[in-house]
Amino acid sequence: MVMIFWWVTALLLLAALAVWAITFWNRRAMRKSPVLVANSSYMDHIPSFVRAQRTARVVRVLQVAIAVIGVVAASLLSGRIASERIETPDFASRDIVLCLDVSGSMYEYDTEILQTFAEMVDGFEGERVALSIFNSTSRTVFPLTNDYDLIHRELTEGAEAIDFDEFGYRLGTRDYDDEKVRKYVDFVEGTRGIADEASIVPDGLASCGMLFDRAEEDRSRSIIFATDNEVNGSPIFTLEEAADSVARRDITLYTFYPGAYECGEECLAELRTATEDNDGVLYQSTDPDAIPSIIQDIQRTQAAAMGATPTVVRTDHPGLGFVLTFLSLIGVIAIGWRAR
Amino acid sequence: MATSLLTRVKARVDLHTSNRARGLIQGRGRSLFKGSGEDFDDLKYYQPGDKISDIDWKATARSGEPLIRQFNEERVRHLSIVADTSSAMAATAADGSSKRDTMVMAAGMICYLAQKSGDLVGLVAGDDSHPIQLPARSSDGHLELLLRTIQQATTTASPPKDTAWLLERAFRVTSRSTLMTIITDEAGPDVEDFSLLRRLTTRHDVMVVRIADADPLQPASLDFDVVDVDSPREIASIARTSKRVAQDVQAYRQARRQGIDEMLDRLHLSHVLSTGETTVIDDMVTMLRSREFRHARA
Repeated sequence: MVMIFWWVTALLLLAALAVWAITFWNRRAMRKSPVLVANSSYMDHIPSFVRAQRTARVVRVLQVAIAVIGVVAASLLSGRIASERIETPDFASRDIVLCLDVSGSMYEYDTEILQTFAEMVDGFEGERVALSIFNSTSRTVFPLTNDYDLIHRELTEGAEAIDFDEFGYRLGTRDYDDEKVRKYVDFVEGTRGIADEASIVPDGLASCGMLFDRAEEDRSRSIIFATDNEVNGSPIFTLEEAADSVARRDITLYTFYPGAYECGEECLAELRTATEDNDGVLYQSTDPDAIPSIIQDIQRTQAAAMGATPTVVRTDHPGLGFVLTFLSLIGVIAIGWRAR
Repeated sequence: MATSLLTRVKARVDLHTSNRARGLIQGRGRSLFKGSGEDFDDLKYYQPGDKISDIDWKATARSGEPLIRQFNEERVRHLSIVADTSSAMAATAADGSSKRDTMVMAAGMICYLAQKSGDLVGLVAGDDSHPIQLPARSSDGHLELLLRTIQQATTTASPPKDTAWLLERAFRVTSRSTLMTIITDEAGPDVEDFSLLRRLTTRHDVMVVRIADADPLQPASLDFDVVDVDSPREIASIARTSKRVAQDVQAYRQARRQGIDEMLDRLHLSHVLSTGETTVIDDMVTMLRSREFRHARA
């Protein structure tokens, strides 16, 4: 709790004190000469008089109390009592592209990633999010937007659709109902543009980089790039080139590597080199449950990277002061009316 | 220095009482203070220096020589004023005038009448710590001094009322029989002073002039504070405007007045309760007239 205009409060209280002091020192001078009477001491034994005097004393104490409360409350109100909260800058100028490898090898991870993201979207304040999925070709599920209803819906639907063991289905070890199959097919539609190729990771990354608009604006741009880097085909770019083109456009790359499928160390090393050479960060975990913490970690890293000077957010709390001022005003009017 | 108090009183008496007072102060024979000291002694030849007013014109006409009436020493009456100069007398009277001025006016009335008939006027006033006493004299200067003494002794800084002391003092210091005028306010003399008063009446002819106090509530002038000279406490406007309080206060004052009136009546004293400076002359004239009738009946 702080007072934003504490000096206004101090001035008002000082003024009130000054007014009181002036009237106090001049109280004799301002008074008209009294009517001198005599032999009135008997009045102290008249019950109705004693009662009236006591009532008057109570009223006077009330008056003083109301006046003091009124002045203090009004001063406090003018001083703007506020609570202070230190907040990192808002991420309204942040663009995040979620770049998801939907090849069969990423099954298990994609669902988790999308679900985590869907949950995190609720805490977003103005960030724009896009989702791009790729296999042999890329498909933009939704472009950069801050329509969180849409984002949330797409992400949860995506998470549900992608939870599909394609190899198992093809081999006949897993069976899904038609609805489920249709959803999956709909979702990965457009990611199989090139027959007999899969996981063209560098091209996928490059096309994710193309999703950022408003190039002239000074915005924070980042790609969360989830892939196991098991390229199965002939990409147009190399991974280095793709990462480089992304980095050149001031896009920060956060790579999530869920674990080896077939390729192993070699692919990881390539991914690491490509990421870290361009000031990106690579996270690695074979445990799908680690994904939320990794994404939060990415969030934190980004906040730090944005040079977030923490700003102080003040929230006014005028309620009590206002109510007290209002009530005391009513009291003053009521008593003033009585003594009219 | 302002006009002398005596002159002012005279002006007021003449103004206020024109016809009614005339009878009171005309010739010695119809003087207000009939009775003692009127003993006619002898006629003697007029000598230069004697008062022209003392000439007995009928006797002069009969004898052909200017004769003057001679009275024995007893003719000079002794008057005394017992003035309550307590702080209460510095307050406001019922009509809004000053009780002190009213008291001076009342005393001045006595002095004026005394001056007309050459009577001696003494003063007993003050309090336990500062007793005031002036011997009975008749000169104008003395009367003026007497009035001034009353005026100056009565301040708000004076001690509170103590009529018992005052009556006791008046009894002790006034050796000779006098026409005594006690000037106090509506709260005095206290009913407990009954025996003191009675003792006083055994030796003196006592009159009591009481000046009514202002209403301590003053509901009509709330802009002004009301302060009791003896117990300066603030009286809230709630109390001052309350009908109930006004009723109770009125009832108390009524009872107190009646109590004192009854006591004074039992002692067969002439007494009057005056509302203040504007009416005190008239009230006193009325009282003195009624004394005349009382004597007539007796």
